[in-house]
Order: sequence, then C-alpha cells, then structure tokens
Amino acid sequence: MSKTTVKLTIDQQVVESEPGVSLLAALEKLELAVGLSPSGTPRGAFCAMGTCQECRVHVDGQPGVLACMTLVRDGMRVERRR
Amino acid sequence: MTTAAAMRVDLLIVGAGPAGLSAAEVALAHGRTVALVDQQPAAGGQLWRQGADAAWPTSRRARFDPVLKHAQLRYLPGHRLAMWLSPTLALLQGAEGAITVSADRVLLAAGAREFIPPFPGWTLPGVTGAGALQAMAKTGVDLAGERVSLVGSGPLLLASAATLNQSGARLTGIFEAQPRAQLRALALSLLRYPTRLVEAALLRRRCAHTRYECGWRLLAAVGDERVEAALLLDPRGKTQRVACSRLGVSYALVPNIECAAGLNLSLREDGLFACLRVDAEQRSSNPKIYAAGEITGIGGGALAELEGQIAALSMVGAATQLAQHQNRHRRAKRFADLLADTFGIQTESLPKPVPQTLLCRCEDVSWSAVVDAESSDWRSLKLGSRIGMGACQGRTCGAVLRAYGYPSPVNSRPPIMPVSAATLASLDHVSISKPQGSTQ
Amino acid sequence: MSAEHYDLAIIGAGIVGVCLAVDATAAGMRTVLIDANAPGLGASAAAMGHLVALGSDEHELRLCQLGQRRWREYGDLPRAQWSDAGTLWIAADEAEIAPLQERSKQLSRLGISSEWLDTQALNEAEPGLRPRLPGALRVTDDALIYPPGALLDLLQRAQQAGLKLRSGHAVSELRESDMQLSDGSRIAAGQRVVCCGLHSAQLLPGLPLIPRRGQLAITDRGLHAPRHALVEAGYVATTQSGVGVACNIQPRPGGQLLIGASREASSETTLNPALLGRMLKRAIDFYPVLAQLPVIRCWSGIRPSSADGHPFIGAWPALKQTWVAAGHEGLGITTAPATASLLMDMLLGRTSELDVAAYDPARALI
Repeated sequence: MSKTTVKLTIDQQVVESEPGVSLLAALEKLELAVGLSPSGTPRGAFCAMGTCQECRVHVDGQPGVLACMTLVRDGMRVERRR
Repeated sequence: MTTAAAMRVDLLIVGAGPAGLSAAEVALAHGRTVALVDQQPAAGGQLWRQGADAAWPTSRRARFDPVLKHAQLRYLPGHRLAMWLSPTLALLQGAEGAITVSADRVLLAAGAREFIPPFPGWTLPGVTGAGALQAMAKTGVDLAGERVSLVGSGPLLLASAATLNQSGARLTGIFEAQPRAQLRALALSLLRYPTRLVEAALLRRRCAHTRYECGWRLLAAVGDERVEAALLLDPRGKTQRVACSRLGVSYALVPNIECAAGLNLSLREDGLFACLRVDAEQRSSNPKIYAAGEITGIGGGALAELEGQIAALSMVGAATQLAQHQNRHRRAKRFADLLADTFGIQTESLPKPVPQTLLCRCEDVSWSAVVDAESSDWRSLKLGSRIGMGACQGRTCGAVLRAYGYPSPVNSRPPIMPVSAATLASLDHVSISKPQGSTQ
Repeated sequence: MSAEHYDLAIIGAGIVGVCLAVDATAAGMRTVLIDANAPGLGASAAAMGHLVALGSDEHELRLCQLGQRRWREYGDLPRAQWSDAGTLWIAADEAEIAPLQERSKQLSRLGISSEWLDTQALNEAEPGLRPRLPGALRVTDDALIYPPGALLDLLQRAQQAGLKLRSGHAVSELRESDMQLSDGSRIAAGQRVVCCGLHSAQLLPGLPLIPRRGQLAITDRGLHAPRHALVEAGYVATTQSGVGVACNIQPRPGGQLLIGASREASSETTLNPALLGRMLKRAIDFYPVLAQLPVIRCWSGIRPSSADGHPFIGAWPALKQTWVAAGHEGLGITTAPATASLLMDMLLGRTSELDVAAYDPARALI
C-alpha cells in the first residue's frame, strides 16, 4: 500500500507531511517555533505530553489545540499564535 | 453545540496507559462496560507510547487492540477532563463537543509527567524534557543527526537515550546527577532481579557508545535563538561546555494528581511530590474511586499494569485472582522502591534558583517574584505575581515550587484542563442528581 | 501586656481598607491595618475590576463617579494594569433601547458623557458581537484594572508613608477602649474602621449584610478580543435581587477574556455548575466566538450587599469611635477610593461633597 502524504496549511503556507505524525513534528520539520512567550519571544516544544501548553496553536479556527497531542490531517488549517 | 451528550458505563477510566489499558482488559473480561478516556490521540500513555515511529510489539497489539475495539468499551482518545460533577460523574470535552460520563466506579490512571526545574536558558527552543524528546522521536519528529544531551536523573534518561540512538540522533552524553557510587550500588542490587537485570543490560547495550557521566550538575543552557550548548559542573567542580542542538532534562516524575481536583481524595508524599493514597486494592479515600499506576506513586510500567489489574479485579470481586496479583505486586514493588532509593532526587541536587530565571513560563514570572515576595502566603503570591495563572494551570511552576519547598496547593477549581466555554456552557442543562439504579 | 496605640485602626485589608490607609497615612494619622489573612484575599481577589459609572439611583452613581475620579488621581499603579477600555451597554432587544437612552440622560446630568451606537456602528466597534443587535450605549470614561495588583501597589504606598500592617491575625474582640487580636495582643486606637466585607457583621452584630455569590471564568488568549467591556443592559436588574446571570465580558491586557456575571444567595466560595453554565451561555449568546475559546480557570467571590442596594458607610451606633464601611455589592472596587474619602471626612469631622445620609448604617438597625 502506498503511503500518501498529507497536505495541510501552516500560517497560510501549504505543507506536505507524512501521515500519522504529530502536528508538532510537522512544525519542527519546518523549523517553526511552535509557541510564543507572553512577551513575544519564540518558544519551542517543552514537555511534548500535553502539560506545559507551550505548543498551543489554532487548528481550523479553534484556538488552544496542542500540537503535541494532535495528529496531522489532510486539509488541516493551522495558525500559530502571534 | 452547547448541549452535552450523556454516557453511562460501569467503569470510567481516566488514562489509557499501562494501568488504564490493563484495567479495561480485566473489566471487559468480566462483562463490564467501560469508558476509556485519554488526552492523547493514541493509546499507551508515556510508557507504552505509540506513534508514527513507534509501533506496539506484536504481543501488546494482540492483547490490547481487541480491548480498544471491544463492543463494551467506549474508547475516547483526544478527550479532556473538564470537571467532576460528582465522584462518579465527569464532564469531558472531545472533538464532537461536551460529554458527561456517569459510572458506578471510576479509575484514575492519569500517570505522571516529567519534572524539569528552571535553569538559565531553559526557555530556549530546543530545551525540552528528556522523556519529551523520546516522545517526540516516537511521534514523527526527525532527530536524525541532531546532537542531543540528556541531563538530570533517573532511568528515564537511559530509556530516552535508547530511543534517540535508534532514531539516528547523535547523543553527546547522558549526565546523571546522582554520584557514581549510587549507580554502582544499584547495579549490584540488580542481581536480585534477573528480569530487570536483563532489561537493564539490553538498555545499556543500546546506549553502549553513549557517554554516561555521574555526579554532574546542570548550570545553564546557552544559545542565541535556540540551544547551542549545555553548561555543566563536573564532580571536580569544573565547568564543562557540551555542544548540543537539543537538551533533554528530567530529574523526577510528578504524579498527575490534578485529574482528581474537586474530589477531595487523600494524598501522600512520593519523593518531592504528592500522589494519590490508595489501599491494597487500589481504592482511594473515596470507595467509588480507584487509582492505579504512577498517579499512586512512581513505580514504572510493570507495576502500573499490575495496579490496573488489581483495581479492576477488586471492582469485579474476583478474590482469588486479586490475591495472586497482589502477591506479584509486592514483589514488583520492591524493585520499584530500589529504583526510587537510587534515583530519588533531593532539592539540593537541583539547579540553584537564579532570581532572573523564569519560574512561570506561561506568565513570564521569574524566581525573584517568589524570593522577594512580600508575603509567604501562596494565594497572595499568586495574585500579585500571576504565577500559576496561565494556560498550564500551574502544573509546570507548581511542581517547581513544591520541589524547592514552597507551598503550592493543587488547584481545586475547574476546569481540570482548559476546555472551551461552550463545553462549560453545557452545564446549564446537566443534571447532577444521582443516576437511577445506583446502589448508593 | 500594654496595648499598641494608633490614631486609626483599619480592620480589613481589602480594597476599601487599603484605600483608606493611603488617605489616612497621607493625612499624617498613625495608622494600623489589620487582617486575619494576607491583604486582599477576600472579595477584592475575586472582583472583575470594572471601574464603572453605574447606579440604580443618583447616590450610587455619584459614589462611582467620585471613585473613578480618585482612581485616576492615584497616578502610576504599575501592577493595576490600567486600561481605558470604556463600557458598551448592549441592548439585547428593541425594548432595551429606551431605558439605555434614559440612562444616557441620567449620566449626562452628572457630567458623564455617553454616545449611542446603532447596529452598524456597534458592529464596526465590536465585530465579535453577534450581528443585528439593536445598539449600545458607549461610556468612554469607564476603565478596567486588575484589583489584586492595584491593591498591592496602594498598600505599598501606604506602608512607605508609615502604615503598620498586622496581617494573619483576626480581631477577636472589639471593645470600647481597645481591641484584642487572635494572638492575644491588644490594639488601642483613637478611631476604628471596620471594613472587612462580610466578616464585618461578626464584629458589629446586627449589621445586615447579605452575601451574594458571583462566579467568573477567564479564557486563554484567542485571535481576537473585544476593545470595550461588554455588558448587557439587563445587568443592572440582576444586581438588585435574586438569582440571575447577565453578559459581562472584559478584555484583559494579555488578550484573555474575563467573563461574568452571576448572582445567587450564597456565602460559600464553591461553584454552582448549572449557574456557571447559564452565565457562559448568556455570554456566548452576545459574543459567539467565545464558544470556542479555552477557559483556563473558574472561581467565585462573595459580594457583601444590603437590602436597599446602598453600602453602609458611617458611624456604628453601638460602639464609640467606631465606623463601618461594608456592603458595596458589585461596586466595591469602583467606589473604594470614594468610600475612603467619605470616611476621612467623617473621621476628621468635615462635610462630604456627597450626601452621606443614604449610607448611614443606622438606617438598617431596628
């Protein structure tokens, strides 16, 4: 069975990803900082297990989605916090 | 929309790691209906994590795939616990919206998280937990060729290193805080536990070429836009600079007791942190609520599995099997205690607080807010500095404060995890009266 | 053991006590501030911090107005996180337009300006509100603060001016000559002000304070936040009696939304899930995007209120040299500096700029 890639948009940029990886993995692959401190400095993943909340992103308009707890899905629209 | 779907089961299990899965297996075998709730997208928790680059061994798949697909089990991955409306009624949130689950009995098996103390540079991208790096490797993060240093204490450092070696990362070293003499004593004690000795030997072999230091202390992470090196103090007191593009830090494990907020369950001390107190049948101080696994005290996967089974056997009243499992538990606990004695971290071994270092990552509050505080009253400190008032709901900084001897009561107010306003709005129609047919 | 002696003893380090401490020390009075706990952990810790011109009658409005004026006069309070957001009083339906326009006139009589926003103007001012609302009354001079931060800044100011703080010890007995604290020590003061919220009734038996619990929720940051405090016109009616919810959404400086408001008869700081649900549903009704915002914390606070809706500010008849300031319901933060002004007038025997008869504690005693 061939492995289909997954297409998602991250900050309006179309990105291809392997299926079944975490959204955190897709962001790391693009070397994008996954989070933001209150003063606006970039933050990376920290706990990777749904505790620290650093990796909150907006998915399909929904805020507060944890990238480390989410698998990529075809057509997913992701926006990072600004 | 803002109405909650309602579900009714015999057993509600919070957490689909070794304890939760094993309990589900037993409960189903005895004809019970089960709801298995988990925050993660795939079952296994931390210890049995599944991901794009980590499949379950065939034996585990054979055992638990049928559990997850069982007609009497509602598996709810990607669900968050909002609050307890009663000891056996929970409000949850999933992709489809709010759900209430009403049960005869509850099993809390939410596991543990890593303890990462603050140090200068800990907010640099590339600084994570050691277990976090392992989790990232398993769920598709490409770490091939990255230079990784692991610092802290405990068997988790070795387990993480083994996974990272397999994923093609270049480990620049494991820097264990405990002195070498302590580790040698453990190695000798392992002779009493042949299975564990074999496991340890295998683990060591997967890290055979990895530099493993003992008695090293973490000073700082340095780098411009992301981590470039770790600064460590060797046992002779000399500062060492270890280049790395990823720094994984883990000193201990913190039981995830927050899932019990509002239930008023008894706690007990487990090393630097608190865990849920249970009896020999894994019952908490509320007879309708069981707890199993790391949430009842750090003990590893084998112990967690046994405890999940004991809880379910107790619930279904299978006395003979229960006694057999309790015997196995006693033996397995001795090994867990040995590990705890070896690696149990003291506050003195942790990185020293530096006033300018951030303590609360969510709200950008530094150690100085605690050190310079006008009042030692915890509520006062929180309100004035905003420590613990951010998105992680005090989990990260709360563990830090506890480990360093500051008061840090567990937040007892809902929501237990951040949930949407719509989920909480559904409460206006939720009936909290006792379900019909309950015995008490 | 001899008693410590002060010119003024303030019992209760909530926002009222702290504002009074600032004024008293500035006037050169030797002042002690006493609290059973650390300062500011009662209703002041739970409050929303909306500095609002609101009142069911002119007395309350004038008290709010004086409070707002004095809040601005404090100058820099770094931890108060001051925001000149203003308030939008939102009409839920056509029937609420006329009362809002009446309120506009009432505000105008006191020199408080407001403007009417019709459906389109409202939509432009706040795109997050549900469309086709009839309109709203904008009161630009209302502001938002973070009460615990403001309290700590004011407390620091008073301490720098010589205030003595005795925290962690309750007043166990209030006598004519002096008072006893729970650690056995005694404090004597020329004048005493009891302003410890609901607990004031323990020291002043017969003070008819009625507890009214309110719940709040705070969200994480989203992509958008309102610019104003969004309060539905029907909010005022809920402050008067019974059980109720009303839309009250406040933007916080970091982009979080603070959501209220609920009222019910209770003195327990636990939560009422059904009422919390109703409150959030009402807020979502007005501000639909709120539905998907993550809520990170819920809490409750107890408003000390009175039967006629006015606070008790004045002399306590049963004890010499004893004054009370309690029962501000949902306007405690807004009116605290005004309450302090009135108390200073009374302590120093001056005539107030406001008519204080409406707040006389004796009115409620049989």
